[in-house]
Amino acid sequence: MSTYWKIVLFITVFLGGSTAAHAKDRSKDFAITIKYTPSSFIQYEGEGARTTGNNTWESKIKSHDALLELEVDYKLTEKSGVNLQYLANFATIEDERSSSGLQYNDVIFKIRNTYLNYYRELEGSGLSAIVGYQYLQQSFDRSRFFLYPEDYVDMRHKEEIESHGLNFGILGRYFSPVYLDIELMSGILLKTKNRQTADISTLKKKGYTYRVRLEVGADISDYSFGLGAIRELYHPQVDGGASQDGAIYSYSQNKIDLMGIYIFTRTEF
Amino acid sequence: MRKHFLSLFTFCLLLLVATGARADESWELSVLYSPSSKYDYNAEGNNSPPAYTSDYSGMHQRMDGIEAIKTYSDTSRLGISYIAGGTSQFYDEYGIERVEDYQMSKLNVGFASFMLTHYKKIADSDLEFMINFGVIRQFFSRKDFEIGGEVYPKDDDSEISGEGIGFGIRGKSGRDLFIKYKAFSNFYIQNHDMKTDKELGEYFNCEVSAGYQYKKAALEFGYMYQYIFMHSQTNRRVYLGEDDAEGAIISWSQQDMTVKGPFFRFNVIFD
Repeated sequence: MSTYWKIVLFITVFLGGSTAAHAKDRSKDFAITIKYTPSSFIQYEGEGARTTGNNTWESKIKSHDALLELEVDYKLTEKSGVNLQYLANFATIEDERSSSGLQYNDVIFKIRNTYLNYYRELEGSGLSAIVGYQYLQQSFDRSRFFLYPEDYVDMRHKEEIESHGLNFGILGRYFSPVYLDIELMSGILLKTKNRQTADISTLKKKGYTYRVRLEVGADISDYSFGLGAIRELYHPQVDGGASQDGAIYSYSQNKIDLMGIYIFTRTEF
Repeated sequence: MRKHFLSLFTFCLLLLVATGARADESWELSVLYSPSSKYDYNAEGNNSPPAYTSDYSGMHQRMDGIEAIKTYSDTSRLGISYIAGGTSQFYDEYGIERVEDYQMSKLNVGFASFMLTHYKKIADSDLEFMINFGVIRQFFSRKDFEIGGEVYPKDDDSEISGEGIGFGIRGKSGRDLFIKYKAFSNFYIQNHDMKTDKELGEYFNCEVSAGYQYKKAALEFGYMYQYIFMHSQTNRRVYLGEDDAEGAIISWSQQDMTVKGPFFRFNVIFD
């Protein structure tokens, strides 16, 4: 599907949603949701300024880690509430490779993402506006660096990137008792931090994120269950671009594209 | 360009049809002027020979904007806005760009943002939710490239653009004397300068202002902060010298820009 038609579809869903009936009230004050993605698609791409002449422009990690999400929802009033979401991957040892084939190494790559959102209903609509805070952690445990053609750098390096962000988005639920949930968010990472220092410091320590979530579920009394799809992108910029003995172990641009199909269960109290 | 207009046209059409546009509702027209906003720019890329980063001295320039908002109902409005800056090059005023030890040049950066925004009232509050679709452009005017101690009197103009979708909030407190605030985050869906990677980007805008309303007109004074991050094709060059021996870098894979400064805004409401 071309980008043009994706835009048309997105806008149609939004505008259609704004006039649709809000089929199910979230009548209970408190709810806990557990989501599990057995096999996600996570692609990491590191690039940017560096301190070495090594022609390794890009680094890529592709993994199929399982994801676990925990969501706590608390209604403040009939039309508003707060929502805490925490996402983590079950990291395993993966290959990290440069696109040029000049370097590869082992990496354990962890993602921890937390949203604290406030939502409030839009007047005359089935949708709610979201304003939220995001705390994103990425950690890399890199080891066993091989350089083309036969060099080996015996080094282990741990790096942790933290980001604090602000999000805006929409949230909506349609139909009952089998329902459709949508959530769209766009955010800016206002401050990022890398505990390591680098010789090159250029771009502002900021970044951006977005999130798209679609969920189909069924309500049975105080319980819900179903299937959902998630797509998230995080792109923090930090002081990076560090290397040792020709092996690059840190990047200033750190883009993560994450998607998956999950099962969930929700309990209302 | 054709893709831009196709998307914009479709967006306008969908909004107008979905909201049931009526001719008897009110309009609000706003004109924004910032006499001196600070433009800052940084870039980095995958260039060879090793010259990975661009550092810009920054400069103060004016910024102008206009927005027309049509009210369709008590809860919905539709706005179209244009905000732009970066005209100092026409007065021969430039900042300095340094590309490590490799290159130096005069540089003027500018931007233009064209947005269509659907405003929807948030229940039991003074706030409006915004969903917007926009086109963002960044402009770069370079001249007097210096490489290896020699100055080449050549100039170059380039631009990159992206299309984005975003969300935000906007609010107003008070009546005659009022405070207004707005923030939105817009992520790019399509970047028209990328030929190798499919990349995204970000446009973030926030502002706060205070003003006084007299009948149908209002004057406000505020401060605006904008952050534009965009990817582009890296390592494009302008070749200099008699035999084109030297190549000056004019594009980078990542570039961010901030534009911030005080502004005046004049609003008029037409019933």
